[in-house]
Amino acid sequence: MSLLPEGCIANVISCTTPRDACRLSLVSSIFKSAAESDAVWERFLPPEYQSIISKSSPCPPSSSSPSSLLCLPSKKELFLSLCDHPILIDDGKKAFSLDKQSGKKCYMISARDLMIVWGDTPTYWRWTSLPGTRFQEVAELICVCWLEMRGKISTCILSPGTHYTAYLVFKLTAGSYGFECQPVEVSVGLVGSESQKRSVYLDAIRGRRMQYRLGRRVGLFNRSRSLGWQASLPRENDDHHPKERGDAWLEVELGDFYNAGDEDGELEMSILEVRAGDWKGGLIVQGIEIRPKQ
Amino acid sequence: MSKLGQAKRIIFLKTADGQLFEVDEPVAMEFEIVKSFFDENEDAADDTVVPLPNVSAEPLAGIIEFCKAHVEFRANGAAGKDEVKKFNAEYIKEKSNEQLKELILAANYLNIKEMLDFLTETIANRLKNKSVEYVRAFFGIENDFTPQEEEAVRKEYEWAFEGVDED
Repeated sequence: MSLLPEGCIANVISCTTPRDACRLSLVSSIFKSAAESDAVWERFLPPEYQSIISKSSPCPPSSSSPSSLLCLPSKKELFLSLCDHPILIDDGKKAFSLDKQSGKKCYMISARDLMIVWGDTPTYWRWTSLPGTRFQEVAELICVCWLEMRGKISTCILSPGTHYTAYLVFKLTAGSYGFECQPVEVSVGLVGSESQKRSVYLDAIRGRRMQYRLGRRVGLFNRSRSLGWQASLPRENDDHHPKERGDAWLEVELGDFYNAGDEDGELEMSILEVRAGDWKGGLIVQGIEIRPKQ
Repeated sequence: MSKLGQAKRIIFLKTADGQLFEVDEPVAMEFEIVKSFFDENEDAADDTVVPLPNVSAEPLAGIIEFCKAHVEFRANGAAGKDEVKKFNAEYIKEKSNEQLKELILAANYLNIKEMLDFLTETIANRLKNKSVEYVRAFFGIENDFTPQEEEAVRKEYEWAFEGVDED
């Protein structure tokens, strides 16, 4: 039978996803040529990619200007670079990247762009720079009783028709304390409407060890219950405990959100521990990441 | 173009397998290839038969059905409404992969933009998350890579091959 012309195949591929396009390049040489064409990858890039790039700055450690991305020989290379190497936007306050599977827009709101209660009081929080982060500064919690962080992002910069999940990206120092058995309350929701709230643990590993110890010492067990201790063991793969990200940071799910894209609004994420109000410290915050739900 | 009060003009189309179709002018003019045939041959007689050497009768019948419905939708101001979506969904529901492929080949040759866009998206949806072998079978395409080339592509896009649907 006669074959579809390459342009027609490219049109079909551009109606799939970046992941499908990469896989379809293995079908035959004509598919490979169509699947690698600029016509296809231009469709996978967000429509406003040029203006995003032209207003961006490089993410450390890279120092080359992101505008050089626009000179890459193919749109596919540009796309993949934006997946693997986030760029800084909004005066370095947010990082922008693309989800490789779907091409949807992803953001990380830097700690500097979060509202952190006591964040400007050096006895409670300090600002440092760490290698391996996207931003110039990260926030380190020295100690507080009132832990409150809020981040906001305009929904009009998110991809339409997309389920997003928000994550807190953080680390615990060797001397961190106060998070072992104490859940924090997190929420995600549009400003002005009811948000989705849940409880998560920031310190799963030590929490588990502690629980074992506490479980054996019955006297303490009762006390821990009165502090809001949950009797169930943390399970692997649940969303209430932090996971390793593969970049030496941890992340914990704050909640999800469907962005229909038909109205402008502001999405707010919060992390709160003010109920028990005990002293806690040793938390390093890189920011809040918003990416498509898997 | 037919003017008000004139009898409806009929366009004669002849397929590769020798079948003659009589199509209302507004429907036939959806086919860019037919439209340019008459643009280039302004004095063509009314009973001129337009040869379509790359299209056989079965897909052409399907295409006429689709274009006829869409010409009517536009005339009734229903373009873009739920009615159209419903018709489109019904239209492809019973079509096999083989039929869809014949339709897109024919729509591409006849150059019918609206139908081509619709078929492109329909086929794309049937290929999403499918294995390479499934797609080859869908289009009747032979793998023309050497084992080394195939290995190189598979390695480059390893992440894109995990978790595809069962064929």
